[in-house]
Amino acid sequence: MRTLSLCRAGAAVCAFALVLLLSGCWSRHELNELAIVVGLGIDKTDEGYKVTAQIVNPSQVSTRNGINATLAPVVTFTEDGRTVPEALRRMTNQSSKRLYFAHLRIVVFGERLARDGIAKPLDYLSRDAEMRNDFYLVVARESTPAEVLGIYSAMDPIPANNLYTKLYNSDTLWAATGQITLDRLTIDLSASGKSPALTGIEIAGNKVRGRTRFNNQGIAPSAVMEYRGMAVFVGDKMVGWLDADGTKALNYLQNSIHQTLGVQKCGENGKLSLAVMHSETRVRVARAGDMPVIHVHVRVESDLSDLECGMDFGKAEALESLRKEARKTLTQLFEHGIEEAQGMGADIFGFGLEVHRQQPALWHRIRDWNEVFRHVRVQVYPDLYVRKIGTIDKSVERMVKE
Amino acid sequence: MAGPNPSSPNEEILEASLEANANRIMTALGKSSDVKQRAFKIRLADGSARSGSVLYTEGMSDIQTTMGKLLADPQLPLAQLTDPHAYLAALKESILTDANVVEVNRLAQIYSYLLTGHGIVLLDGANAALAVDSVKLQARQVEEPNVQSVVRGPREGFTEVLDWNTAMIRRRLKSPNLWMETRIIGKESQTRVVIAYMNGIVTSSVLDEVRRRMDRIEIDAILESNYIEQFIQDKQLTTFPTVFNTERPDVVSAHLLEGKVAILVDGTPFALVVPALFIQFFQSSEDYYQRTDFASLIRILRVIAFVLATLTPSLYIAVTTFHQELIPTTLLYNLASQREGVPFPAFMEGLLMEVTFEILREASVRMPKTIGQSISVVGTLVIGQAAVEAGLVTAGMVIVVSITAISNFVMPAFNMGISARILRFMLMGLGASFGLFGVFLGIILLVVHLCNLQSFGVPYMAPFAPLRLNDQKDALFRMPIPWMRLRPSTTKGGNRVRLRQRSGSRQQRR
Repeated sequence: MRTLSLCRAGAAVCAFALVLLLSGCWSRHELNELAIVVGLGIDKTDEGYKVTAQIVNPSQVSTRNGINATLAPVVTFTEDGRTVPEALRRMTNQSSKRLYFAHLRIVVFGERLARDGIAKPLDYLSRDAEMRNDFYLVVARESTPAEVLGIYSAMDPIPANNLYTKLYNSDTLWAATGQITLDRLTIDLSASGKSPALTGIEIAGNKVRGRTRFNNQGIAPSAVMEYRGMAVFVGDKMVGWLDADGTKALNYLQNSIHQTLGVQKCGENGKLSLAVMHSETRVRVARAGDMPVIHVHVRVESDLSDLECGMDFGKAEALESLRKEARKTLTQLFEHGIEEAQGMGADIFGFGLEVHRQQPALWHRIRDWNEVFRHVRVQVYPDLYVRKIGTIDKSVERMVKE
Repeated sequence: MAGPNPSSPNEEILEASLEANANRIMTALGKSSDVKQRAFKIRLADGSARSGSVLYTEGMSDIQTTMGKLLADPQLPLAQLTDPHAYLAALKESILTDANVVEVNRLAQIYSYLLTGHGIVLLDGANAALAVDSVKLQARQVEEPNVQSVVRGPREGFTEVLDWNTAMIRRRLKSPNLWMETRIIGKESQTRVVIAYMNGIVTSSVLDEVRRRMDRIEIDAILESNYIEQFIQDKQLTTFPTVFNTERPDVVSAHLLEGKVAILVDGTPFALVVPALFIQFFQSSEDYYQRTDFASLIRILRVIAFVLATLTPSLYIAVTTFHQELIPTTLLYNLASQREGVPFPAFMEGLLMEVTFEILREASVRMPKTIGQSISVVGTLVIGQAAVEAGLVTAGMVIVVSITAISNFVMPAFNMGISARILRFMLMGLGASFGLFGVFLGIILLVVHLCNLQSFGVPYMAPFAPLRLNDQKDALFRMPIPWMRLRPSTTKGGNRVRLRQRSGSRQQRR
């Protein structure tokens, strides 16, 4: 009995010892042996890729030293390679530490690469186990990724962090950008009824001065990294830029509005602003012969945030006329966006997916959806509700006159 | 007071001659200087005088009153007694007013009485003696318990005197069902050990097991209850205590009412309680003296503290050296910047700080109280600011070690804290070599080990494994006392009803 239990104990110990072989010290890295990569820039060269990595210099950003430190908060290294991983490995020639990607915040593609196709470098980003998929992907506009990642940022000492939070805030509050993460992008790329779109980033201001510490020494920064519009892709190749209104329309139509703000006409020559708090979009696909007809219902809830005309919200007709005007404004906005996308032959709204879902028989007869999309009729039916009109009912201008 | 039992029948008995008897006893005790002899003479009615002697141990007995009685002029009927045996019997029956007077004639008995503080009255011509209970111990008075102190609740704790301790329990449980068995353990120390239990409530299998294990003990001396604990505990190779100890009479009483067995040892204020469950070490007597909601929250807090004390350093090491992706990005920058210029790997850092803390803790227990103040100042500096500024360790690690150290002392039972301290080092090693994988492997092993433990036939992890729903009322949570109608199901076979449906006097627990 005793020997039996001893045998079993021995067997258990052996089993656990084997389990320990599954992992080991070789994956162990002390924090000071890691170069924390927060930004990655990828652009095309003739032979392969030019890769830029933005690496945090922890001692310059920690709370212990504050941000008054004399060294740059981040370091960027740029290296060429036939493939992205080759360029990154070659970067060890420059970096004293091992590159560590788990805290990557933003990936910037060059426009040249984007027009040439982003699928190939994406493979490495998706395949590497260390990469997470919660970073944003953007396209550099009128500059290279290396330039974008070399600009001192205002407020946040780490430029990549700055870009990350900036994109998040602008998308949730203004909706003229899109926060696209790796998983979202790969889904869009592999879907046949939707084209991807990535936000564009450009350097506004003095590029040369922006690269120096003096960028932030004035109160108004000499150069600011600014999001502008979205790059539209067909397949994995970029075909053009969508402007801010087009991007807004995109967010409305694909139902990804958190909050935004719209301005519309009011009365003869006045204006008013509506803060959109909630928006919901439903797509119905009908068919007319061999062509699908797409009906988009957008229901917008908003608060009045500014009134610059004589409208009096003490009267019920006021709201009615406001809604009428809003329907007109929104229709214009949407039609503008749809027109732009149709012009590029890129269904960034994902209408193709709805056609597939709602009219499968029709969908299977369509060969090239992007070509068909150019000529599809899209009807928009926006409707707007005003929830709050704020703390005053008449406009200040009118109170002044009276 | 119960006298010591004659352990081995030593057939050497007293002779008739006082001088011979006294000499024999004194010689047998090596003429020890603390054993004193007080000679006296009694004048009898016929004019003759009878010599006698009182033997006593200095510092353990007070024979002043006994001497007063003996030396007072004997009353007439007594003074006429010329037979020494009759005189001795008369002394016992009508003169000596002490509570406990026994006639003895075997030498072994005399030694045992003498050395427990009795006065031995020898009379010339009698081959017997009287053992007079004149025990007067110089002992620590009943004080507030040092280790297990409470904010609200009884302030008295056990002392080193067994009889006072049993009296403190008896005062709380005036039931005739509170039974106590005394046995003498220790060939040289002759220590009295009391097994106390509630007859009718106690689990008889546990009681039998306790008796059996106690009977097996053969040792020269019992100096503290831990001597007993180590003999009777179920498993030697474990860091977890399977015998509960307390210095609070209220705690012992409450456990007795739950059908447990208490073991009290003369000479130590710490009583043992068996069987002991894992969760019991997270319960304090105060849980029952404070409001229910608060008590439950505090118990949960203690479990959290135990987990913190065991796991924090290993998790920190594992996460910072293997799984940096788990750290929030901004925190990672800070931790990484702290690591700049620290020469040791995180594991060595942790080990350094933990060992330093253990040294400081041990030193603060052992060192004289007068220099304690200055050492604790030095200690705080060493463990805190200075070590960080000297670049030996990171500030993050100092925080981890401090939270570990503080959590460690949240446990009401000190010995469970010791367990956490030992396991911490094991888990740190696993975390440093295999990351979270290793830590979780360690946790799995620990859980298996814990579920494997038993205390006197009761599963250690009860009422969680095996799950007993009814006992959850007083495990991790403490339900209001009126809701706890039944005693825990570990009370097998005994009377389980704690309170009737409409009970006027609700029993106080623990």
